[in-house]
Amino acid sequence: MASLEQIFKQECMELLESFEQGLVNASNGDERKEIVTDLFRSLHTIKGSASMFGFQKISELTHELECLFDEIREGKRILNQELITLSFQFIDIARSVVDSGNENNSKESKLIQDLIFKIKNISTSTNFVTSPITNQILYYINIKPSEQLFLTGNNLLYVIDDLLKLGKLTCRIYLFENTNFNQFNFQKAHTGIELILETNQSVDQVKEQFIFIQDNAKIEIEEFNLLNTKIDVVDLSNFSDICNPFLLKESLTVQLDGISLANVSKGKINEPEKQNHSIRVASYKLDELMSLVSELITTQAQLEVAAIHSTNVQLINVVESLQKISRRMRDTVFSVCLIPLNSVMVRFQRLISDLSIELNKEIKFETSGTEIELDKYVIENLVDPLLHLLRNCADHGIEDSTTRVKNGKSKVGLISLTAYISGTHAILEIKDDGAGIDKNKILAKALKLGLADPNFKYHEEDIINFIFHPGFSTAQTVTSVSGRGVGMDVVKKNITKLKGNITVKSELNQGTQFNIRLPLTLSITEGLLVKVGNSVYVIPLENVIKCVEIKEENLNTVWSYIHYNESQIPILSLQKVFTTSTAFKYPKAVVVNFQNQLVGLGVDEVLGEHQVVLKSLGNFYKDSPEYGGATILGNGQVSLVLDVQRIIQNHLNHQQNQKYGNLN
Amino acid sequence: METSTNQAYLTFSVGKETFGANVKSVLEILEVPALTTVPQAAVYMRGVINLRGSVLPVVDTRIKMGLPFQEDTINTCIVVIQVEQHHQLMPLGIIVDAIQEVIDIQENQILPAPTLGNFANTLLTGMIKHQEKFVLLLNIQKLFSSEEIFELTETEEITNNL
Repeated sequence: MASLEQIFKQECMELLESFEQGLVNASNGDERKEIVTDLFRSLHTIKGSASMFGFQKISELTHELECLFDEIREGKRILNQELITLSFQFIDIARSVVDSGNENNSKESKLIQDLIFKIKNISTSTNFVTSPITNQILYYINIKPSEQLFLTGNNLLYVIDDLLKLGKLTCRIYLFENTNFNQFNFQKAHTGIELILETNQSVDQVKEQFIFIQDNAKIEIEEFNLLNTKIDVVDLSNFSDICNPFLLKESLTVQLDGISLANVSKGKINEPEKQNHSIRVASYKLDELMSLVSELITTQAQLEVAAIHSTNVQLINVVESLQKISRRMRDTVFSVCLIPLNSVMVRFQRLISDLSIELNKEIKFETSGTEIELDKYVIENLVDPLLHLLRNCADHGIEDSTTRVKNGKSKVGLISLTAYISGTHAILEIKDDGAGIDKNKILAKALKLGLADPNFKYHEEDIINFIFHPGFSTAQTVTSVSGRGVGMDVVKKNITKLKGNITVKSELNQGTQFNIRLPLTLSITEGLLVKVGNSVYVIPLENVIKCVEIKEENLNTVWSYIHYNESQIPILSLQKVFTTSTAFKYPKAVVVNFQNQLVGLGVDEVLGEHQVVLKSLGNFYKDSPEYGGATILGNGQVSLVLDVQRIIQNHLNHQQNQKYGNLN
Repeated sequence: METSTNQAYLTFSVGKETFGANVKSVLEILEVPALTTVPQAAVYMRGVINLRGSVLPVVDTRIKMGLPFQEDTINTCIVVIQVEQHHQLMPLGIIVDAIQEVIDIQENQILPAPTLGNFANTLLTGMIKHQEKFVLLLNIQKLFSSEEIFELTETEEITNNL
């Protein structure tokens, strides 16, 4: 059970994120009023919770910002760039404090005080907008709460108090129909309120009073604008002896009858919100579920093996049904652990927004296809590489406005992120229409660092790939944003860790495009089962080119050569690697791809293809990296999955015979 | 309020000695199933087994304690324990020659472990006398989370002479 602090932290982070998303939308030109209201609401909730959990300084800071947003809500202030920047600063500080759990750290305290000071400065200076019309308006309001209203901690009397601040009112309470006094539950709401409010506030301002209860109550508002009537003052006491509910509105209409009434707005603010269609689940529960499903699949595979040898038709049918259900269950559970790429987009939008201010360039960020869903682990590990790539595009790629216009481009630079699924892989394209990568500069730097051979004529694609080398960076100065030369190789490493790959294309003065290709599932791969000695091993199919029969008779060393496709390829005897057998003759070889060369692996038997659920061997085998993991076969046996690249590499180092020295 | 606490220990034999492990670290006990050896691993790693769908590494306790290898007998079992590695609790199987029983020990019954020999100094948390035999209380965490082989033989001499 998560502690209260953990729950607070999680909720606060979510509120901050939704506040941030709203800000980003607003700063991108979204002018809807609801955005400001939502921003205000988020701040209000953050203020309350922060105070409850002892973060008084954050609560105070939030309160100052909330007051500003209140003014924006009321139309007394405009949300300008300065405010947006301050709000972003607020988000950063709040995140850092809530994450560390401590707001009394001197650095953080100072940042908080600084920000409070800046916000207060703004409050005292105003950027007023004309205030609303000041004639008297009568509103008929009917508040019908849902039964659960009180359970949300709301009290209708506070709403009445707030309304009273707007003007004068009279109200009538009514009982819900069908209220059963024999089963009266005092925790539920059974009464509604009708009231007539006389005020000079606009209908929007009246609606604001209900924002905290509108999710749990049906609110009807009818406006009777007295502007065009001869009535200056309405005596509300005329309505006070009406006992019959729902006659209030009729009576008001009758009283004002004969005079043209402008029913300006008939607003039912909203129905109580539909029940939430999603539920928050702790990740450890998902992990458990995943592992149980994998166990189910394995056990079911064993059952299949046992049933194949049976003649009981009924058994075979049931086992087949079980197989279908298990597969569907596995697919569904796997999809539960998938989250849309969208969920991390805010960070990227925020980054571009910040960078465009910091670097003084105009940059537009477009995304498409980010609804695709990826494994949570993959997404979490994609964030850093993507942030780095986007940073590079903004810093090195996009030029400043003057240069762009001079080169015939639009003033505003464009960075785009497109995502889509292709077969069993997800593809992410990050493109910018900036300066492009200067291949000559890259080649020069590579030569200087000794990474390139001066006598070799490199293809264009190969030159560009030098940027992925550790320590490579052509930025002349180290800025806070980039230039330390630790970027691209780390990006590549992180992508490789996710079993993906990254390529880059670029045209000078036109732009650069990075392509990231990721497999959709990490833990299931297609494998080839082979037998070496008495053990069964799995070779991941992605490495395998072909299986061949060995015709050579005189192979008697760890490394040999065999004929393949009109030439010779080296072959490594897995028998020698894995067993102590002195026999050399191996009847079959699996030809694999090793660094763009063909290498054979000698085995005793090739058993067939198998879909493999990868299991880690754990820390106790961390020194045996030749195995990428293990899997459980249908017969319950554990079978080791070979890391082909490592095995070949390790045994290259061991080779004694100089005859085979030219594999590279 | 009485302060003497009861602890339960699982006793088992390895070589000529009887050891006790606090049940808090013990997850379950199994018979030895089909083992898959992992070639070129540490000498005390016997291999891996399939434990209800997960891959469980198995340590040969005799070899970890510096004793010579012996074939498994009908009494040989795997005790699945929990060991902390890199701030995480990981399951690990250890092969023992025979399981004996679970005994309740009062804290005040625990005698200090014999202090001679590297094995005793680092790996024993104490010793008790149970039914005319000495049971060495083992620090499971220390023995199995490190990569060393601890020489048990020195301690054997000591306990034999007690």
